[in-house]
Amino acid sequence: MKTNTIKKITAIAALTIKQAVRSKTLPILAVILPAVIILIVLTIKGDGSATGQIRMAIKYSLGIMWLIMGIATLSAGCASIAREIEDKQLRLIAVKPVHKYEIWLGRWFGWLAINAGLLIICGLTLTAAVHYKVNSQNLSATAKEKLHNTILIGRLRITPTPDNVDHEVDVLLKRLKASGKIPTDTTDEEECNLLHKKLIAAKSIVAPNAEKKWTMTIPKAVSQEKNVSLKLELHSPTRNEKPISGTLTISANKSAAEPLFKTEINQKYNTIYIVDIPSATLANKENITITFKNGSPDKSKTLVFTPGKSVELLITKSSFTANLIRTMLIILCYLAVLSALGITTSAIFYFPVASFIAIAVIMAGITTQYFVFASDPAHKVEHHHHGHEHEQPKPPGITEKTGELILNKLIIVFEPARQGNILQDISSGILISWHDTGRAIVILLLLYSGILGIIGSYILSKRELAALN
Amino acid sequence: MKSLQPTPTPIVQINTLTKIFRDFWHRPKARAVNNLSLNIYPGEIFGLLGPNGSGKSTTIKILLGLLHPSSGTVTVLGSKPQNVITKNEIGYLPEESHLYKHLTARESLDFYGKLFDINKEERRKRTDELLDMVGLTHAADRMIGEFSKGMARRIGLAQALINDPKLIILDEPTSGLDPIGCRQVKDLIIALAKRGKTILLSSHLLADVEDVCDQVTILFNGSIRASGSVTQLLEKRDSIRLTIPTLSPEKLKEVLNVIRKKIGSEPEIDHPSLNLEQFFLQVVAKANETEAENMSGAASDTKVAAFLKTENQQPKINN
Repeated sequence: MKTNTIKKITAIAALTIKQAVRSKTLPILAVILPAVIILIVLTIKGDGSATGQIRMAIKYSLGIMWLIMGIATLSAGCASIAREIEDKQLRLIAVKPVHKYEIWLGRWFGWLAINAGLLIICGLTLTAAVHYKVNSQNLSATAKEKLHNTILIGRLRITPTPDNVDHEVDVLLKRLKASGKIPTDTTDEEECNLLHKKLIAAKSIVAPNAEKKWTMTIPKAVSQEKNVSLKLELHSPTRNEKPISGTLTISANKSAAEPLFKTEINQKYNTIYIVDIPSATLANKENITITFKNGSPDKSKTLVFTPGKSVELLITKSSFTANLIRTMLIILCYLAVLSALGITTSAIFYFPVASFIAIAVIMAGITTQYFVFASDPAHKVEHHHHGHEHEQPKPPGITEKTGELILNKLIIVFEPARQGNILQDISSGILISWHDTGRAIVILLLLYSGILGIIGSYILSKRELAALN
Repeated sequence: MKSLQPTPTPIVQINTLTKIFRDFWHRPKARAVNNLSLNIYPGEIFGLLGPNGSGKSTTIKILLGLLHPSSGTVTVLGSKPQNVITKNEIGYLPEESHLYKHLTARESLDFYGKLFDINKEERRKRTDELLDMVGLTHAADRMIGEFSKGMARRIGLAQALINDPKLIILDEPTSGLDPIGCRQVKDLIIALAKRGKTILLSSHLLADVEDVCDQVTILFNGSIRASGSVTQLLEKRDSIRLTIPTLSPEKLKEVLNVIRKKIGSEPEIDHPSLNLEQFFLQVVAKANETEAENMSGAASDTKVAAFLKTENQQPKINN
């Protein structure tokens, strides 16, 4: 990029910041956001436990901060160019030797800097408020340590390798075909998907005296880590008063006779069970097998382990501060996309139409995750199987086909923007990795904002900036 | 014998320009400019005259690339109006000063200077000179939102000159100014033209155009109704005016008798009078001599910022 281009972009960005300061937008946000964070951290009750309180405090304060900043960024973006065209201020810039993309980038960088500044203020406030809360509660040394080891930390989450049921699916499919039990309108692929789901679900249910095994691949960089814990979600669908008990073992492989680690579990209710594992357990291991043997019927009950979620190995990788910095960077990337969307819609439409369009785009982006579920072929087959067996399904009409086509396109557009539930993760002490942060920077900051920038700048360069008086 | 000087290349060339504004459905809504052709040559003060809605501002906005022509061609300094490099050589004062109200006068000039990639030291120098030129040094650090219309107009004029432009486009430059301010702006326009700047001035105030313009084009409903030099357009070629010192009644009678004999009809006699603007300026000048402090916003005499170069000092633009 040429030096004079950078100078012009910097000048417009500086103007944006100056306007935000002098119109009181920035000072008001700089007061409101820390105030809201402090209020939430100091007053939230959570589930009553210290860890619950801090987890909720982090999650809700960051969530509300994100919401307020998102609304402010989007409104400012939507008003920026549209308002300047209406107020005719943009004419004086457009008649200067400035490219339209320099105007767009100037506005975008301005709000990026404003949001970065606000996030720094919020991050410092949250860290200070959480530490004040922890130290003001007269917690025992053990409770404080637990808090620092479970919530105020960044732990890498390792999930088990998904159960491979392909062979069993093949066998079942052949058997169903031979007995003619597959409906005529169902393809082999659809039937396979359904059988796969059913088998996985069946393997998730562990009756008393039964056992469940999970295999995990341990990354090389991880095996030397010192603080390791195992998280197990113990959930029973039954409503009886029986406790949950069983034996948890970790072994080097499925057939190993001597377990590396063994512990007895006795819990009164459904719970998330977390146990620390000695650091030597994972040393130089590539794969481990985790086995849960459910207790006898008089001491335990049937449990359900959600695939991919019920068992996690948590390995300490980062401090809370570093984790928070990465979280804030990802939030900054999302805000940059909102800002880009606002500026681009304002380059195309007048205010407030630009706001309505931008909000509609965001709503479409948020709701596509439900569309993904609805348009899943396996879901459709499952629905069909549970419906009236003898009723022939209607062939999809033109509306349904068009809807599905639009839906699929929307999914392609919005799906890459999803970065997992970062608020849930940071408030549960789960590591937000540099890889996640880098992905957010590349996809949100560069790709999405870049595409929006190209669209906005192109339309701005083609648009007449002086309407008929 | 006719001189063989080559015809200079026009700085602005408009050929059969038409601008039709359309509605959302692309249906014609208004024909603002209709088949307009004109040339503006270097060093000219060119007046675009016409009532409201005659197409003056639309023509200017097309010249600046803010609107696109429906048909016809427009060339400014040898390029299309959208050419970003050419804009380095253009200064524009819009009909209303659309400046950022949250910036001070000094910050505004500095901001627009940055857009021309003028270095910091030069920007500071030009800002000081321009503020002095438009008589706003005392208000340099006040927000533009606090300015009166006249002050905003002055700072608008200053921003139009920050890049030392070759072509200055002024849309209603005296609107909102008091008579002193008007006179100063007009004197400034003349001074700038003497420095070789080409000026396109749009106005519906006839006195402004008459006072400063070399060439005038009168527009009505988007079309040219009259065009030429001010002298050509206003001169009454069928009569002359003779101005002599006041005579005694006897001498006047003698002179009139001679004239009657020569022309065979009764001549018109009256006292030459000042126009109201000249009279007003004289009153204010006298008042200024007696008042210790000038309380009006018009604190400056007509002076031109030193950085505004003469024609032979102007760098040539490379497109």
